[in-house]
Amino acid sequence: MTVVPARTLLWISFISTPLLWLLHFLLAYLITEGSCSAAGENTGIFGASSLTLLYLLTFVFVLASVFFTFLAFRTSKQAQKTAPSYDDFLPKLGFTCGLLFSFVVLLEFIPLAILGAC
Amino acid sequence: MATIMMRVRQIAGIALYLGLANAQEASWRSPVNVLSRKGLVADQISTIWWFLFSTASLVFLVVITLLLIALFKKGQAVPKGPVQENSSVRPILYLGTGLTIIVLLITAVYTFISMRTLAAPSQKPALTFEIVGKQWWWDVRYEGESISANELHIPSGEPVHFSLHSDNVIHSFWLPDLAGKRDLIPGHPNSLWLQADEPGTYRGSCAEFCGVQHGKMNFTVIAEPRAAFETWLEHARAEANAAVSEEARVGQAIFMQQGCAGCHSIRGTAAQGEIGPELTHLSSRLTLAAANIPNTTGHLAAWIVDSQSIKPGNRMPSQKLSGEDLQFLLSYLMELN
Amino acid sequence: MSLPYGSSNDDTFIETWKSAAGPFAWLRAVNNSPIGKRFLVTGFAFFLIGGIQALFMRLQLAKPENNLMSPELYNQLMSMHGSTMLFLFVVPILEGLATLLAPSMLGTRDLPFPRLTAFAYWAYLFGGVLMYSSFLLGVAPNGGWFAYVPLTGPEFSPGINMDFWLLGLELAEASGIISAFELIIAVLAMRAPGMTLGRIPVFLWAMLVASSMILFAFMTVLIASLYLELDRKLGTAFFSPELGGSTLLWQHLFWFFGHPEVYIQFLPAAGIVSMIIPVFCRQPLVSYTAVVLALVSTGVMSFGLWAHHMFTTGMPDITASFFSTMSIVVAIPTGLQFFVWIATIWRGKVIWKTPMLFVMGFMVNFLIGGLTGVMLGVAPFDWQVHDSYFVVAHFHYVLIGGVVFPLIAGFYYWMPKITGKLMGERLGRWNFWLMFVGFNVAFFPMHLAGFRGMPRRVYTYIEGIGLANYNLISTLGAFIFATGILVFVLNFLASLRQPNTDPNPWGAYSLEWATSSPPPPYAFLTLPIVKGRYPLWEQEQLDKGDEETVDMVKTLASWPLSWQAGVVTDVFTGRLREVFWLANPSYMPITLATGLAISLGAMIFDSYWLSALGLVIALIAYLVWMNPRQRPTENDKTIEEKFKRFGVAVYRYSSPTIARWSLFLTMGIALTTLGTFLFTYFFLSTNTPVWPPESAKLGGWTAAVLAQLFTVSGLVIVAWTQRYSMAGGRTKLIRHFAIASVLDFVAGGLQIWAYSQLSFSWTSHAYGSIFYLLAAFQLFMLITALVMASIALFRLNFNHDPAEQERVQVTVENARRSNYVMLACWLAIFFTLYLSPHLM
Repeated sequence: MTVVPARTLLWISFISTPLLWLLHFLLAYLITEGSCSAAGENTGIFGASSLTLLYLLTFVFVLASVFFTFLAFRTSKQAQKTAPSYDDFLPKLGFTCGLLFSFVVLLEFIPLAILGAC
Repeated sequence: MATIMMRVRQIAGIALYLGLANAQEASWRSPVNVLSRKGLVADQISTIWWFLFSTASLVFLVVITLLLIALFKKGQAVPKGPVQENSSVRPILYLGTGLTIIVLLITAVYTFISMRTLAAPSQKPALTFEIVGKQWWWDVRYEGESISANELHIPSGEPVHFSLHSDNVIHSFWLPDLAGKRDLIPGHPNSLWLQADEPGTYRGSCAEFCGVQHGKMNFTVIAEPRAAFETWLEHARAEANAAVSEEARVGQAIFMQQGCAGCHSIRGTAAQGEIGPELTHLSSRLTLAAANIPNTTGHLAAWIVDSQSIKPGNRMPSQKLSGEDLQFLLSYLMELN
Repeated sequence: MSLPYGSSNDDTFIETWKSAAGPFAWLRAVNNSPIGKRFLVTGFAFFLIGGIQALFMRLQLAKPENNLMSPELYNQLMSMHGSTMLFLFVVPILEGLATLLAPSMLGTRDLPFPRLTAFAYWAYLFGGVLMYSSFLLGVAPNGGWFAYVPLTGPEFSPGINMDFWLLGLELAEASGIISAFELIIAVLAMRAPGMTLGRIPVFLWAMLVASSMILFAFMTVLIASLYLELDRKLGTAFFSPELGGSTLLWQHLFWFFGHPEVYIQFLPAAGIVSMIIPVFCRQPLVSYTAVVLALVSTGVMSFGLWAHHMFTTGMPDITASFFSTMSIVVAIPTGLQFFVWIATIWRGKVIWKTPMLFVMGFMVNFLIGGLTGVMLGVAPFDWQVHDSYFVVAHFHYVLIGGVVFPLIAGFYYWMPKITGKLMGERLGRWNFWLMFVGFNVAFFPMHLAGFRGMPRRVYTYIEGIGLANYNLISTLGAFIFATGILVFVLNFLASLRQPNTDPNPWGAYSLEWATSSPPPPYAFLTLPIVKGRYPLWEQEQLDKGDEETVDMVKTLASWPLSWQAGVVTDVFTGRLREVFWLANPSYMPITLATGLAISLGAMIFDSYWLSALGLVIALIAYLVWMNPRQRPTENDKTIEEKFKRFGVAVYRYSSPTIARWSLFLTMGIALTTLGTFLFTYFFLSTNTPVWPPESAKLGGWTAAVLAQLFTVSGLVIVAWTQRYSMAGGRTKLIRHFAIASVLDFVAGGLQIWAYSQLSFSWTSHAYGSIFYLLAAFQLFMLITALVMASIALFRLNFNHDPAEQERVQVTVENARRSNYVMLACWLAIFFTLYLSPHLM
């Protein structure tokens, strides 16, 4: 018997990775805003250097994005089976969003590697 | 006949005068160009531009060619009935997007690498000037003291550091020939470094909207060999000459009484105003009114009596002076070299 | 002759949906079609005004040291040109187009809140008029459309110029938020049966994304302008560096709005392009999913671009690099979209009509604007060309090339659905070529002028610096472009003399083309049944489908006839769920807007009594609005029973589903507001060495902690009610809400007492300013939750009508949800104000 995906799951599969990216972006911005002066000095946050924090943050968010991308993929497969009573468009869209946004979060490693913090 | 000859001579004289004035003026009134490669920073940025321009041109050509082919090749209309998205043209989509991603990634990496190189000069700047943005002129300071306004000399061939401030609204310091711009923000000190590779005169302007006369807030930077620069700096930091001629002495008294001294300072005299530009070595400067008019006696006179029509809304009121007083004042100011 | 699909010949039904009659009827008209048309006309009028301002500016710049106008006048025109085009033209006209077309494109009858539609229009009109009334006094806003502080602050702009701008803007932006609110709900919850999320016309996907962005982005600019107005009127110190404020705070907030704003304009335009290309190539989009992905991801990413407007403010390189990355990466979805369009054209057979010409003009111009946009994302390059004419060229390529061209294409395309007429093809071609050539002649040289060192926003430039020729050419181009616009106006006027055209003159696929040209006010008597993305291409008949759905739409076409019935469909399946009452014409929307305009206008002149009077008028109007005297009476038990068997509920008032969506969106707005306030607090704290200032002492700790305990226990009690059903647990529900309200009330008192112990005021320093603002917001949220609880209590007590129990249920749910959001705000604010200083 196929299980109809819950409505919340459909929404989550669609919106999670864009939101994760946004959260990651804002956090990364706030870390540099709080720890770097315009002159390039680094005061760090909670004792850790901001570069370490940024690497860690990006790593965690890449993992989370990949997880939710996979979730969207699974949901879209599930929804496809139950179509047409349920629309599989949203999780399908969520899956493509997931690929794109995971990639974008991953990209944040490039400036970190080239420029270093501050 | 004679009158005609006189007229001709007059016109020729004016033309000659204008020609000369042009030669003199050309230095600060000349075109600037972001791509002129006259300064170290601007040079690197123009390299970035040519990279961006060639990539963008290539992308433009490819896309437009594809579009034109698509428009004029024979296509077909979708038949009635269930509409299927056609997958035979998907390769255009995948290829196009893939190429977009690659081009953009290269651009991003190149950006970060160039940011790293531009972050600081290889040799630590020996000189720091402080620039304070005013409405609508530039206060040039060295070691805490105003030494000039709207005009500044720098040594060529070495990096110079600027610390940028504002105590009023936001301005932006831009010398297109030499470097990118940086804002002067109240409560947020900024800094900028640049290097003029060759001696020359460079025109700059304010690039952030700062009120009614934002359009006429320019400045001039003169790069010269180190020795000449040091002479200038020493002179610029020195106090003003004492008035020599009789007219100039009267002029100085007028300057002090007319209220000029309430806004302007002349180091070595009682004039200590801080509202307008300092005038210690006024007549040695190339321009007046923030690099908008040449610094000639005629223009100076016009500026004093009619500053509001030359630069409407600026903070200097047009002065009501008798012709005689104006002459005295001018002789004094022209002696401030 | 048979009627076009969806039209009715039933007199009662036609009478029901006719706009109000009588000499002053236009003041109380509410439905989407008259209001949508007004949006279009007003928006276009503002476009013409803004354009004329631009022509005068171009004349002034045509030669060096020109004296055509004073610098002050130039700055006013410059400021108003930008403000008009961005605030009063593009967004309102796009929202107006969607307001007009969305119901017929969705195969439904109207937007969810007809009166709110009307209010949005009046608020927009009055906001624009308020801003423009400044010209009568010769004190037009002169601080630029970006209004950077401190230039626009009380010290450097003591006149009332910027007050007109700020207050007019607040009203116009509020209108934008309301329209967005309605469009989101319409697209999500009011579609034709069978129109699943994957079948929504792309233009409406674009509007859905853009509207969601508006909710968040417009709030930040509203809040930023609130700060500035408070600085100007009450002496707060948000933007005063000497008191710990920050001038960069304005830029962050403004661009956090300003950059998404660009995409709020571009995405609907791209949506128009995606609608038109398939029609004029006779091919479906090569990938619908890719286009929607591009719209959604561009919309989200646009929130990570704002600081690329601030590269020259001196930020750490690593910060700049994040924004650089995003400014470059955002081109990926746009590129994707571009290639979908090209591949679609590749497949298809191009039909060269004026809309298609404009779309091609868009593709060329927008491509250039997009490429220069990527360049500007490269921070070092931006340091050179930022705030130069290169940027002026870039964003006109994006906004005229990328938005105005598709918009004009849209007008040509949809004119049969606006006026019923087709516009002339011959003049259309003239129109296109004049605009296309004029545009490029005007704006291409600006790139070069920027390279030649011409800064933006200058009223003149000196002679002999090589700028004269570029500027002269630009001026010429501007006039050619303006001629093109003139031809458009003439073509439009000429078309009005034509007879109405067929329902579907272009052979298009979407549902609006099934109805007559122009569509009847109700759009569809019999809702169409949708089976694909291209219904008119795929389906011979729109009223065929599975038996149950056919029965449902047939039933709906026969009843109700005497009141305006809207339909709610399931967000995923597109199944009919609810039939509800759409409010009838009313004078209240215009009264409310007038009240607010009086209130804001009076503030400009510091006339606070008049301002309060305006608020009172607004409040009364709101109360009357919310309690309409005439409710639908037409009753038919058998039909309602029939609907019930289909699982469709009939409501003679607003729909519970829509009420839930509304609360959800409102709470999203509240949380955005909270987020903006908290961002302000922490941003200011990183800008000051000592935070909070040493002189600032917090008092009333015990009271504040107690207040938190009270609200938390109130919440626990409210949350407990989730276990009670309406049927069995009514008394318990009443008891719980009553107790929780008392607890919240006490908490409010305690918190106010705690705040009364403070040693500083909002004028002391920026810390004081944001502290009091957070405190005020905290109390505002408490009051909101209390009001919601009171409404729930009132209905639980007095409303026992069995037909309305679901409505009571929704009120209870909404009260509960607003309590959750209130508590989130309380705890976040308590943490920020009382605890965070000890952690840093």
